[in-house]
Amino acid sequence: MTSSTKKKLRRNIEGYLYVLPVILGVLIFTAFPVIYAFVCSFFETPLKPIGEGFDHFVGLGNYFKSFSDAYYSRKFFTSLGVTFLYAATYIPISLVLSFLLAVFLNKQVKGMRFFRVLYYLPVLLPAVCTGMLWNRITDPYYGVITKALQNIGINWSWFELPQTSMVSFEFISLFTLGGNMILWLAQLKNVPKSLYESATLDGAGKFRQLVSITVPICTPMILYNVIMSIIGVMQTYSQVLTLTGSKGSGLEDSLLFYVFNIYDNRVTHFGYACALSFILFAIIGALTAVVMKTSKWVYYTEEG
Amino acid sequence: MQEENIPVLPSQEGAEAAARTKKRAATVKIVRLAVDYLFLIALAAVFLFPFFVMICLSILPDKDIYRQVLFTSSGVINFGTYTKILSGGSKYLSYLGNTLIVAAITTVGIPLVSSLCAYGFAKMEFAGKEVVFGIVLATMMIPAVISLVPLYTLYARFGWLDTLFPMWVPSLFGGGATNIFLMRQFMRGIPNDMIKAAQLDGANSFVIYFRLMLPLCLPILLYVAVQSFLGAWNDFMTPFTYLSVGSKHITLALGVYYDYTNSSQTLANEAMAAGVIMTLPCAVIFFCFQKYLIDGVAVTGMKD
Repeated sequence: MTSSTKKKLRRNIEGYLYVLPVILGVLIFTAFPVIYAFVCSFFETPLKPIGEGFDHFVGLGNYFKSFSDAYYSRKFFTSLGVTFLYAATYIPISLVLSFLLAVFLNKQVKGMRFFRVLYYLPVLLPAVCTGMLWNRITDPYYGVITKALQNIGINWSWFELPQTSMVSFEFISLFTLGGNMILWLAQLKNVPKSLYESATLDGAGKFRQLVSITVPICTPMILYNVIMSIIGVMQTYSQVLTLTGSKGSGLEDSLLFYVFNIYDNRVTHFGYACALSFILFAIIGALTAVVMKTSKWVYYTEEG
Repeated sequence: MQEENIPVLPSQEGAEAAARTKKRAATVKIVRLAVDYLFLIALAAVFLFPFFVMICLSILPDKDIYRQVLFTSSGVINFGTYTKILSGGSKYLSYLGNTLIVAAITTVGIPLVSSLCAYGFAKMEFAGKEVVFGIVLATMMIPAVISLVPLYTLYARFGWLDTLFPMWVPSLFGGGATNIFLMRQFMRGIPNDMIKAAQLDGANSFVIYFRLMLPLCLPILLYVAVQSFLGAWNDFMTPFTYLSVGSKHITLALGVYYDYTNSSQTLANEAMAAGVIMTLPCAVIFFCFQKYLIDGVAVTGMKD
């Protein structure tokens, strides 16, 4: 072996040693479970330790079950409907509001940094604490908020009626707008000041500047936020569970998010739960692909 | 702004008119600023509302709980809820202990291991580097639930169910692609000349990583450490999936959910005190490291 190939080999080994932990991590904690789940999705089997075999092969049966079997298909389509409704309403609302918040907080006013920190604070509130808090204060009999609203003549039933559950959940989720706001603020910093100056000289008003300069320059971040929101929102689970407590997925399944279905089935119908996971994966993949394909509106600046 | 540039006319009248417009402009400016601050404070009140309610309810005397009020009329501040939760041998203290173990290992482990891997990807040359990095990045797209549930079968085989292992072992493998991606981005910004200089001085790659890269990467290391701590502290899904009810390894997030979410089991003041204690470390850490956190988030949104 020549010394140069030896040196090359050494360098390769050295490089791989550095990234070995992440390679092992991906293999053990991602690749293995995903492949195992994929295999299991073709079997009718309960949850049991690996190596104890699968019960019986059902082919694509677990995948068809969501569409053919009355009980499963009702749950499946309800959960899909709830999740899509939440995604379709909450993602636009939260993106627009957090964007406006960021534009407002981008002003050069003394103490602005302090306000940004304050607005970000609810993001840090542990999800389980948020859930517990709102569960208690919206209680129909003992809740402080229920009473306070009644005092000013509003009879909002929060999670006591299927019709109000989703709106209530979205309202509570809005307290974490600060997370997206910080991302927008970072992007707003990148807008060249000269653009605003020349726009002002041309007589463009503040609103016109927002629509014609700020928004176009923020489009890469809009795309990023939309995709990340889709991935996140489609997996909503713990926020709802900790909020509704014993009521679980809400009255009449009004908050039966998709992942509830996976969790409810995972012990006795593990194979079906795996199939549901892969359907979710496909849905997220398809939605992301659609957003990417239609992303002609994204404007990349030269240095981008 | 424009008014200030009006040239002062030599005549008396002109000077007076200029002074008047100047004064008016100043008033407008002050009013605008006042409106801005009013708005900022109003919004801060909205965002801090959950914290305010949680703290108020936590110090409410027991007899006021069912009166649906935030403040007691008796003037008594009840810290008994806190002492009850934190008294020796309480379940809460055991939750806290478990969470601290997990959080400590995770907070040290993830920055260390992910920086090692990121160094490999950013500064080492080895065959197939781009492909491996691409695969690692692709795992970010995979929904967590797809691996969370099937990993149960593996952990059952290892005998890890009802232990703390599932909560901290993955952190020793870098804790996911996001951290490695962020670190790599940061390290790529460090000039290669510095590394070449160190190599000429006879430093091997590990010495360069340890003595040169780690100190330079302090901001991103802190960011990842804080995020890892918050992630471990708030993680609900992992313990919920792998720990059974009554396990002695239940962490804070799960314990608060089991013990305090349902109003039938505990009084609201005790539940809120449990929430305040759980939130406190997050808030303190955030205030200490807010600069790194907010700037770090700015990096998150950047594309390659």
